[in-house]
Amino acid sequence: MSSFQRWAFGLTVPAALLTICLYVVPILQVLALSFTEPTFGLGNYVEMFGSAAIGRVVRTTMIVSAVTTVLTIVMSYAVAFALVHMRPAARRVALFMVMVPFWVSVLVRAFAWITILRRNGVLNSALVGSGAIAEPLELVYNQFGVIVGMVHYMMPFAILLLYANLSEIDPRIIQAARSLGARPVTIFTRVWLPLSLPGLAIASLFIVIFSLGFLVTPAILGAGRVLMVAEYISVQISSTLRWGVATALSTTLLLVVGLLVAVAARSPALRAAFEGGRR
Amino acid sequence: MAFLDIRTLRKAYGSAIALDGVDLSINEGEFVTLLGPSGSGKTTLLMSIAGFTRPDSGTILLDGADITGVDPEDRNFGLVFQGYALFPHLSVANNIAFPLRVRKWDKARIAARVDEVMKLVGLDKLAARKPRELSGGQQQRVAIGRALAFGPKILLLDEPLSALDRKLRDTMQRELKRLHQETGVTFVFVTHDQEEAYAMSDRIAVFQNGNIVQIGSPREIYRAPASRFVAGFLGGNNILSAQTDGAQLDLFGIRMPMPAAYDRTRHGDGAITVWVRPEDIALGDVAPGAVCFSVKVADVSFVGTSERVTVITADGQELSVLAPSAIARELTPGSTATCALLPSAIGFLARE
Repeated sequence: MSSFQRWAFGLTVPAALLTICLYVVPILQVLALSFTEPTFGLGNYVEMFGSAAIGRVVRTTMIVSAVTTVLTIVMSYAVAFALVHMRPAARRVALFMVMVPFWVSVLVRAFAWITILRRNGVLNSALVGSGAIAEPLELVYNQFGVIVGMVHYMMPFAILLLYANLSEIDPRIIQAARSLGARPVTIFTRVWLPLSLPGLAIASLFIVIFSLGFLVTPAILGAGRVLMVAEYISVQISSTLRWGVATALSTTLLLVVGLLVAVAARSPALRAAFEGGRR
Repeated sequence: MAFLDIRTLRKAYGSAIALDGVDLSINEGEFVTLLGPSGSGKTTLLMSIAGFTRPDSGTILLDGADITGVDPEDRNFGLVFQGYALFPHLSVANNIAFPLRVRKWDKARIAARVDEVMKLVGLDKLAARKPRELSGGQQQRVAIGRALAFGPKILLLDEPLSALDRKLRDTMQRELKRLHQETGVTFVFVTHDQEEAYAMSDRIAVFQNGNIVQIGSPREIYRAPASRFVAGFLGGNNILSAQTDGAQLDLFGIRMPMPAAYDRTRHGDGAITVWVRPEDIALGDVAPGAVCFSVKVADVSFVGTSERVTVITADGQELSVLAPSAIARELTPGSTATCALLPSAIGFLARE
């Protein structure tokens, strides 16, 4: 190690210490509670795997996360694909619009969706007023509302991840495919899609992990009727004070996410994404 | 009628004119090189032939049929890009098979053709490799094989050798020449490198500011550049001022009988411009009939097979001379030397 490298390494020590002392250690302490609260042993885990209520919460979490991921990826891919094909001036405006949601608090966005989606909200009023439907639709305080809110939250992240991947594809490769006689659909399925697999893999992983632990949006747009893991844990900790079960569930969630990352990191597509330019 | 006919093609990007009414006829099976400095319009013309650039006006005829508005995917021209543009996710064999799959050939026919093409471009042992596992020269061969696989009518090449080192470039030049002869496909090749153009082409079209300023065989263009630009662009030519009354020529303050190449109506009289090739000037030894003049040596630099000697003539003009090392080694900057020149080696440029 050169002295410059030693210095550079040394500069990361304070941040690392801070993270370990104030973040990693407390988390480990909390997770340890799952084995000690209320009594020492695996009781919390036995209860967790036996509980029908927790089973329902896990099922809801998996369904909402899966649907959110698929919808987010499909729609974000379309937006990112369009971004790559825009003229630079139009692209600057479009990228700005993609980023606007980042500046609005997630709480504000969730409540904004309620004003749009509730029974006498903006959307239902417009639909009933125009005579398209007779009765207002149930658009919020159910899985549909939660998924709308979550997809809206996730899309900017997915768009930026996919855009970064798609804009790295050499336009001459696409021209080459055209010069070889390929039509648009063939070029999309044989060239664009395979070359964007790394981006799709990393964006999907990101959205799945984000969805599994999502708290604010499901809590507000689900209003207790769509209970996902994060909200369930929060209720156990702050209301019912069943810390043992809550921390057992947290530990399991952390392990599942860790497992997902480990499996994904072995897939060739994701390895290519992490290796980036070395392709 | 020519095989590929380009008629008064124009293309402007904003106020920058890329093609200013280009006319060019290419015969079937010909190897034509578009040669010029960057920004002279040669690549714009190639991309117009490929179909990726839409000209503002003018027509492109293939075998008499207007293809100006035809999409690139319908033209059936092979295109080799600068940087090759191989499909990074496909193996060598699958890169070459791509245009065949697109054309829905059956499996056995594709396999046979891929084999044939890989032998043609000398890649038979690398079928399963991905492009990133190949050297630059091998990637080049894949790109050429892929563009030739489907039997295109024309192969368009956009500076394909510019990324290769010199030795590999020489090999690839011979390869391209061989492929041209073996396949009989019409080649249109873009380069800014005159030696590349000389080595491979049947004809060279020299570009300047969106126009073809001269077209002809390599020897014609080398021996008789049509303008000051062509004479200067084609490497190291000495462009000199001279005086004439129509009967005798004053060059370097020496009066000599007028060479036969001079034509008063085309080249004018009074102050005129002439060119002399560096290899046509002799240092020291004097051939019969040569004109001698003394010069001052300014610089001697080794260029491999010979030495490039820069000298200043009596009337203050700078002159570049190629001389054998044995002679040039004797010279030191600041010394005087004697040069000899056959009047027949003097070329005249048309009045502009």
